[in-house]
Amino acid sequence: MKHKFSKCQVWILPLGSVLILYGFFQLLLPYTLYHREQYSLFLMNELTVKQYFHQDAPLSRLVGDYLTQFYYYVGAGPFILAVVLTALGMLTYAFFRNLKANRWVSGFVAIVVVLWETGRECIADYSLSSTLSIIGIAALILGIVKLCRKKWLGSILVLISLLFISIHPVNKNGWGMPDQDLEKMFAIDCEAYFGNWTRVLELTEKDEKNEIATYYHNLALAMKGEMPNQLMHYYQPFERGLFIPVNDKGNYFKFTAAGEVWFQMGATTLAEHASMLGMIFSPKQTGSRCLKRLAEINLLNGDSVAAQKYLRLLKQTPVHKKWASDRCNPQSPAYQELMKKRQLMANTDIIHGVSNYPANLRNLLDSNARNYLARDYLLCYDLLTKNLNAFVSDYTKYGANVVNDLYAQALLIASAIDSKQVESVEVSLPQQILADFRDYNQIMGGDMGTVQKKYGQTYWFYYQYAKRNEK
Amino acid sequence: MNRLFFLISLLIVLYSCTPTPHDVKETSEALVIYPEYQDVTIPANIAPLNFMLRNEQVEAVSVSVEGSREAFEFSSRGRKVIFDEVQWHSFLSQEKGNKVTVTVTALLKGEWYRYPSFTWIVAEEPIDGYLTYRLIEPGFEVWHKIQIEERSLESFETKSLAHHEQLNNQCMNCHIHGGNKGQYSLFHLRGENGGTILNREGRLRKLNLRNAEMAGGAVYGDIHPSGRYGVFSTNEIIPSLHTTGNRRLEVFDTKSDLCIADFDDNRMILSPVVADSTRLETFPCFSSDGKYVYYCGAPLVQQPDSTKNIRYSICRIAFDDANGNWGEKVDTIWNARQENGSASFPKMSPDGRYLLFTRSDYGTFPIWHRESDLYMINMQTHEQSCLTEANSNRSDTYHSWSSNSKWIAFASKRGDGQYGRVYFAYVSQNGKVHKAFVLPQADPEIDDLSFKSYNIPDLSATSVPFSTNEVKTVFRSVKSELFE
Repeated sequence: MKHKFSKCQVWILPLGSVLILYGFFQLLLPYTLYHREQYSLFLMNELTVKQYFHQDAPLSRLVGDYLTQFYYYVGAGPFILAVVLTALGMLTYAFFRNLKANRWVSGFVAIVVVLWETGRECIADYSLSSTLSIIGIAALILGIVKLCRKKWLGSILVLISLLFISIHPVNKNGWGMPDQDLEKMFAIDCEAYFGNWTRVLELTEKDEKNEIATYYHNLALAMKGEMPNQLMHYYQPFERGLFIPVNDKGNYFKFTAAGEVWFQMGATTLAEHASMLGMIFSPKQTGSRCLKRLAEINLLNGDSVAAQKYLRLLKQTPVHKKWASDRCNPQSPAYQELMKKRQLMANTDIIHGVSNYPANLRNLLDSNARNYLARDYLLCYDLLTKNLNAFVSDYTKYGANVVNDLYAQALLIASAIDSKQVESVEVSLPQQILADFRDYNQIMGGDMGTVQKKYGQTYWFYYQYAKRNEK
Repeated sequence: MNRLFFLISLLIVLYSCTPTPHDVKETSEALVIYPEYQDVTIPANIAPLNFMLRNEQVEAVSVSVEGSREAFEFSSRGRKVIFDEVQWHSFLSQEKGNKVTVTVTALLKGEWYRYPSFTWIVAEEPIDGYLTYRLIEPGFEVWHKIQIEERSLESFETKSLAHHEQLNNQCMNCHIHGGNKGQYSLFHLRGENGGTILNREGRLRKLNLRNAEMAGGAVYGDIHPSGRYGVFSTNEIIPSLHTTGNRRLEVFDTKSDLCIADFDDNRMILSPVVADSTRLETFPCFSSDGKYVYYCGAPLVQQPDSTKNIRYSICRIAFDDANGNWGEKVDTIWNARQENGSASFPKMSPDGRYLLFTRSDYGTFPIWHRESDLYMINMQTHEQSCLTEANSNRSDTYHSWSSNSKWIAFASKRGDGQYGRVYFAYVSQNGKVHKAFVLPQADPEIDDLSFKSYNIPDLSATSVPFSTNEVKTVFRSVKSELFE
């Protein structure tokens, strides 16, 4: 009976460990793991494999990058990590048992090591190769111990371990707990990348006054044609809720995110600019997501030579091979869906500063007045920057047939400031808005709480009280 | 154990066996290889022109290389042709001045196919043995990790001259040689603790090339043949973006003047003739005898509104190197208005016979202009010619001459449209420029995998006598020398 129990233990404990670890990563960090895949790239080609052997810890890097690509699939990341961490625990256990420690002590140390490394795997940019290197270290020590008994087994273990380990691997970032705020940002970013706009709205439903969340919330609303109606219902950090600046103060996550809005509205140069910087500032200066986006942008631009640069690489990855092949085939639905964006693109070239967003939006609208995304972004940009002159001018030119509460409220302020300014606007404003505006003007000098409660979600309130946070 | 060892050895031996062509079928299908090395003129001292077949179905390849005196065969599994360096150099040294015929036979789905042969003409004249360039991501106006490298053109060896990791990740501008010699060179290190790093026969100095009368620091430049002077432009550079197609980045100057730095007396030599506030002056270079400065000049216009209307002419002004004085009169060598184009980077051949420049439709930043092509002016006949054989339908620019005036190196985006690579072309006795070929790599797939552009390739007959560690020391420990 005792013997049977021991045999069971051999399988039950590791299996339990795999299940617990799988649950931990799947429940708490699935998007963090997916994020890691997006910023790594493993090419199945001879030169790439050779290049690993010019770096330290070649095997752990090679195997780590190979396995990381599978994080792309739902559940694969948590499963791989669960297995790898369990293997680490088993090696640790075996090592201490070889040192004649009793099973409780060996088991305790193994659990501590697994917990410690699990904590390290919670760090967003932690690399699987680091865990594999530690496995290499454990195997090396075990191999040395085994050398004393079974020389051939010990020798093999030591040789393989030496290829796994080196000074590089152990990440300097220390130890971490699951960062749920970051996980949420990755989740929003990931769902937006896949165009799951309803899911983005669900994730950003609770207004946490976060610029990235606002940016994606606005984008998701805009994709559903709802941005102007909902704009004042959410935290709006001026234009930073519409566009993420691409400058030397950003980071790769922000750069890549910044490109999403431009890609959706067909502004390919700005989208490419953001994706390119997202890629080159990422930890490994590569990544499947940026490569895919760069390929798409160049296909849209008709630059097939440039697109092939990226597609050729993606075709060499087991995970993104089909994606790339579909983009090489003009008959494929994916290719044809992508090409629909061409209708949105500008057909007249202008030269503008990198952060001159209105110039770009007007250029898109001059080419295609039905680019509703560009129209909403332009008008909302004018309003969030409190540039009513620009708003009236842009509204007259690009949005005169659009009537909603936000634009009506803005037109009333513009009219109150200078009635001549809105003379050219031919729109009849809803009576209720006119009445509310009269009411707002009467109570605005009174109790702030009352004003905010009644009109806190109007453009009048934003225009009067919103202050730019320069931090 | 012995069985295991035997099995592994057997597998290795079986894998190593290269299939030999048999029952070969001729095919008229065009051979598609990368790099495109078909029918090019090459120097006898160039590193092996390794290439690969673009057809990914190729299982094995066999190449016969036949010259007038020698011949050799190459066979391998896979689609890559990677020549043995010793055999390659021995072969080319025998074939100087000769035509070499290359025939590729490939194994495809179990059948051997022979493609139409192509040729290499091995020129008598060698190319300079070294090339420096900056490796940078084409990140438009923001950089991340950059470095300056020197590559031996006779092998695949590289040497780092300046590396971002050692230089606080600060921006560095391109390395240029004086008179195609490693003994004279300079580059700019930007940002805190930066300066112009000047190498004069291995002695490194850090210079602050700016005085109180100048609006900005030195940017584009050239070293006088004597090594004593450097001519520079000072530019207020504004990056901006296009909105359509793949034109991407546009850069324009809102102000630019010329100046000469006297490296012996630490003084800047200015002249109102080349610091006209109503005009833009940029991309200066010395003539091969050092008696003139060639540069690009254009009237100042409102930018970016009129950027597409700005066109730079090539101008020339005398320089008295004995006294360090600018001349008084500016000659127009190439008139932008008449030519309806814009010139950049004039570079005179070391023998003084030709002026090589980039011609674009407008502006001063040809890198993303697909129409940018190399042109050459014969300084004796004043005839200009487009380097049709060497140019491509992508940007061809940032050129330099070999010390014997027989080769040019330049950056081109023809490979993949995004990342600049270095190309070389032969200049014949009568000034005809041959088809260009890309910088060979130890593995032909390296370019495919690289996300860096080669920027400002500059040829040199000798290697620079300093290392990245010395640059690091100067950067960190030496104070910039002031210029009056």
